Amino acid sequence: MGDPLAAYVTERTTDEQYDMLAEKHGVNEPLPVRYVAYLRSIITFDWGYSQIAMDDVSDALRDKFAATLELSILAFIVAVATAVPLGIFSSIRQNRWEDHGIRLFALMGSAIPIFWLALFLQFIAATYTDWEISQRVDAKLWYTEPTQIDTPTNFLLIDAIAAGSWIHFKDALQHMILPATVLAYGSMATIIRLMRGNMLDVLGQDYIRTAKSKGLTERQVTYKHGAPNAMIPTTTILGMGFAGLINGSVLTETIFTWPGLGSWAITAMRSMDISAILAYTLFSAFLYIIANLIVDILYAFLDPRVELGGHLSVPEIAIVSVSILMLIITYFSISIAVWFGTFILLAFIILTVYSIVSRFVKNPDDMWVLFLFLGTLFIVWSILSGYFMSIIYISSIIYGLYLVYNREDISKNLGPKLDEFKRAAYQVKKNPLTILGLFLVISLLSIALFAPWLAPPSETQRDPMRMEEHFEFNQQRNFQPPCYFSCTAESGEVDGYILGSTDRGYDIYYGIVWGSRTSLDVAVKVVFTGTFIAVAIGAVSGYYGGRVDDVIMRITDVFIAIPGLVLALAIIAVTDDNSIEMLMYALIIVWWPGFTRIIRAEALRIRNLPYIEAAKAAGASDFRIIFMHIIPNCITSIIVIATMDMGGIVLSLAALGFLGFGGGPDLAEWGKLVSFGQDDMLLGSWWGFFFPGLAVALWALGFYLLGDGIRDILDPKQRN
Amino acid sequence: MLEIEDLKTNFNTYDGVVKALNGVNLTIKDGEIFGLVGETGSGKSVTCYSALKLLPKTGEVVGGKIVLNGEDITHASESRLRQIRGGEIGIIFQDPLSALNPVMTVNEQIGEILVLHQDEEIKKLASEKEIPTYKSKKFQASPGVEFTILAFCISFISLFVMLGQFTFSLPFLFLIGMMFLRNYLQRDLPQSALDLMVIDALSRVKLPNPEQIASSYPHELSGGMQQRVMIAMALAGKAKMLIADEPTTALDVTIQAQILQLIKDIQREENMSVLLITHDLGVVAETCEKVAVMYKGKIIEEASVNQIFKNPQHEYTKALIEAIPKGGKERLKVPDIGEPGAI
Repeated sequence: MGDPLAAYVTERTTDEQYDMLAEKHGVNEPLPVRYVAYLRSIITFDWGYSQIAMDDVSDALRDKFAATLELSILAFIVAVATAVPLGIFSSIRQNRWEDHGIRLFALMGSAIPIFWLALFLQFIAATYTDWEISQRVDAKLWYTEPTQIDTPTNFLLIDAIAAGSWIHFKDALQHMILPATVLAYGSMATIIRLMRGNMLDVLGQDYIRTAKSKGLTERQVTYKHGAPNAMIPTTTILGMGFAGLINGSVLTETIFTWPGLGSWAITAMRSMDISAILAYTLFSAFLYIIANLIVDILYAFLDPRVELGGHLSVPEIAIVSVSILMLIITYFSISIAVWFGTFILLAFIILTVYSIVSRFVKNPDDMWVLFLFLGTLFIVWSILSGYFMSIIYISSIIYGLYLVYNREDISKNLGPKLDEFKRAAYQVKKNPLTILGLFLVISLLSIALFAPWLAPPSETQRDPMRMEEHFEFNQQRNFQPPCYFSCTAESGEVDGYILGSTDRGYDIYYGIVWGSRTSLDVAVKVVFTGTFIAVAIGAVSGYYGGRVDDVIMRITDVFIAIPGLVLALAIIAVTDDNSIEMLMYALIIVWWPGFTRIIRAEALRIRNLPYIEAAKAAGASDFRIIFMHIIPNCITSIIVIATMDMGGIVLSLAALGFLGFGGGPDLAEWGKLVSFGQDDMLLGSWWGFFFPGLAVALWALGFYLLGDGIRDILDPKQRN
Repeated sequence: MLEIEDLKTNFNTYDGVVKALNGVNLTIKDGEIFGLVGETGSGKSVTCYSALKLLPKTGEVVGGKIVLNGEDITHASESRLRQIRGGEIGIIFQDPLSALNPVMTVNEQIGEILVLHQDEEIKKLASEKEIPTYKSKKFQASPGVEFTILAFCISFISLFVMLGQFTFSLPFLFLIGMMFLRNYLQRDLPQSALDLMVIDALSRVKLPNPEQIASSYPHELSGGMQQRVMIAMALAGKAKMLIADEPTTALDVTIQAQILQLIKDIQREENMSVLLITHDLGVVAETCEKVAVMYKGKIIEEASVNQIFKNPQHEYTKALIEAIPKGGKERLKVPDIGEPGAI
């Protein structure tokens, strides 16, 4: 575990001073007491002192939140104002070149790593313009006489307008424009795709035909009848998107040294500034709840069918009132609160266990759920420990034998299957983007497969995954430009690097080729583990509902409320383990809750459909219903999400690598190479960040395109 | 009124071209109720969508002629077609709930067609009665929504005041102010000419309490009321012809009878022509004067209602009449008789 006092300790701290610090911060108290003391400090607004901000946490939070909020609001306005019209336009030009262009643009927005785009724009701006590309403002202009102006709101654009100063406004805007663009592009992508899908859905509805039969123009039909209906589901994403922007600012702010919450949080994670980390995570969760609330209210505005309020259930009221009681007790006495809290927690655990056990006692047939979870655990263990591949081999051999024994039956049933396959091939042919995705995925997977031939490790390397330094101390700079295809000198000696090298002397080409193995390894393990966990828990939780479902959903709530990247960072930071395995576990922990919720929602939807009733009426067991009806009916979403997240996981991996987490510095990993490239960028090396970032972008783009294509193929509604 | 000659429509699908209509001939005279019957998939609905060019993207009219009041509209421009849709021909659809826009009030949806096709009338009414033309008391957000916004704003204001950032709370104060201002400004605006026209259209279809219905959303009305609203909408543009595409299929039996009676009454009062598309010969017997039987994209028999029931000429028509479920008799299946014209 990491040292919770790390932020206070320097090299000169003596043991006695350390003990005094531990005493002062109550580190030696037992865990429940420390937790309750923490709760008390939250409700009394005593959020501690941030060593790195050199200020009280609550004051630092207020200053930095204004900076982040200003940036996020600008980015949000840009994103919504461009994405909604683009999505609508794309839907009315379905399957024409405009549509393909906008879809590619949108997918690139999700696929391009935010840090790479930021570096790219920064490099362009630094080379071709005289814009300031770091910090929030020109400090000399804003905070020193004679040009100093007041900043009462700390929203600098508003302050500049209030002061009526064009120079200040221009300065603030110039600093803001690049980070805002970077932030906006990422969230634009999601909105475009959702808006397009919703519009296509809405334009097929009956009331659109009614509107046409009234004699309205195409434009009136689209914007008056289509768009408002399509906006209803889009709103859900808008709220989450805004919370996501604030989280996305973690990377953007770090690169543009924007003095906001995100860069503060990253610095805090690196130096174990515990009060800052806690405050930031709590604040993010708070923002998430606020965003949800706003979405609910907007919903009631947009959709007259939704009514506000009146749906609090008894358990929700109980949970809220117990929590409030707990906070009140905490305010008065820590020791009573500890006892009370422990009592409540124990009662809750006993109640849950009792309800599960009594269920199994009543229906012994349901015991299979336990076996399902045990089986899932076994599969997860096998994936993480590396035995998974052998299980795959064994089961494919068994399946092959099964096929050989039943070859006559199978050849009879092959006809319709072949038809399906032809139909899929036809749809792939019709959609050039799916072909592009398939091409990218196959090429990147072959690079991973043929790495030893594409970039043979030198004889001195013990582990090919570890890059070799080519470092000469007598040189001022050690990076070399790419020589592409002419790397062999006339004497026949290899001289230079195909894609250049970093200042540490790492060969970028070698790093990219072997880095694809790291990406593949992490992505496959995380996605497979997460999928098995999510399907098992989601299907059972959604199908049965009840108290177990409540508990599972509250647990996922906790995970989802904290931004993924920050949670992963926090896990890595507190365990103080910077290995790639730890990073993988962190990604799994971050990733499963969202997926579980999707599967659970699907299961919940399907279980209320008439054919489930029919299956129940026909006497099917729960086991049969879950495996024969529920899971096969969510298989489309499972496959699509898993494919897309093969890309998404690599983006997160690269982002964490870029921030310096996961594996040692010489591990072949794309994000890490980009961060080396960032160091070299201002010295004039563009290849250092460009090529590794391009690899990440292509990987993510390939899987996103493929996932999108699979969705189109598997969706029966798309057939016509 | 409407003549359709040798109309051919194709659908381009993955499995190849589907010929939905293979030369349909129809003539609907002024002031008659014309029934079009046939099985599901025989091309009844496609005929009327083709006539108004309301086909989905995959559909295409490939031949034939459509004449409306002596004017050939087969290759009419999109703007002329828009005048016809709603202005000269009104349509009502099968399932009224899905055919009405869920996020617009009845008032807005009917008002739209009035503004398109009855603009002169609205302006005349407005100048006669000296009331506003379109602007009126907007239908208020429900008190629940307003209360929630108020609570939301107040909690934010108090949060920011607590944090010592009073300036942050200004937008929320502004929002509250706007809300009260809006309510104050709209406290007693008179009804506009458009509103009066909408209410008039709703009372024409014998809806009780039309003011209240005008301000409601489709999901707040019952199925019969929704279909009446659809009819009011189709008639609002003073169309001389009404196409009813299985108007009673989604309704229960008692409501069905009422809606059919309503269509008959309105037809008599306004001397309209009605094209009633249905698969229910019972409905045809009750309502129509003339009837055409469709089978696999062709009209195979056309006659007056009396003739069809007494003396059906075509084998398929006979089978169709046989298949009407009667008390105590076993239900018969309509046979597949091959291509039309074979018999």
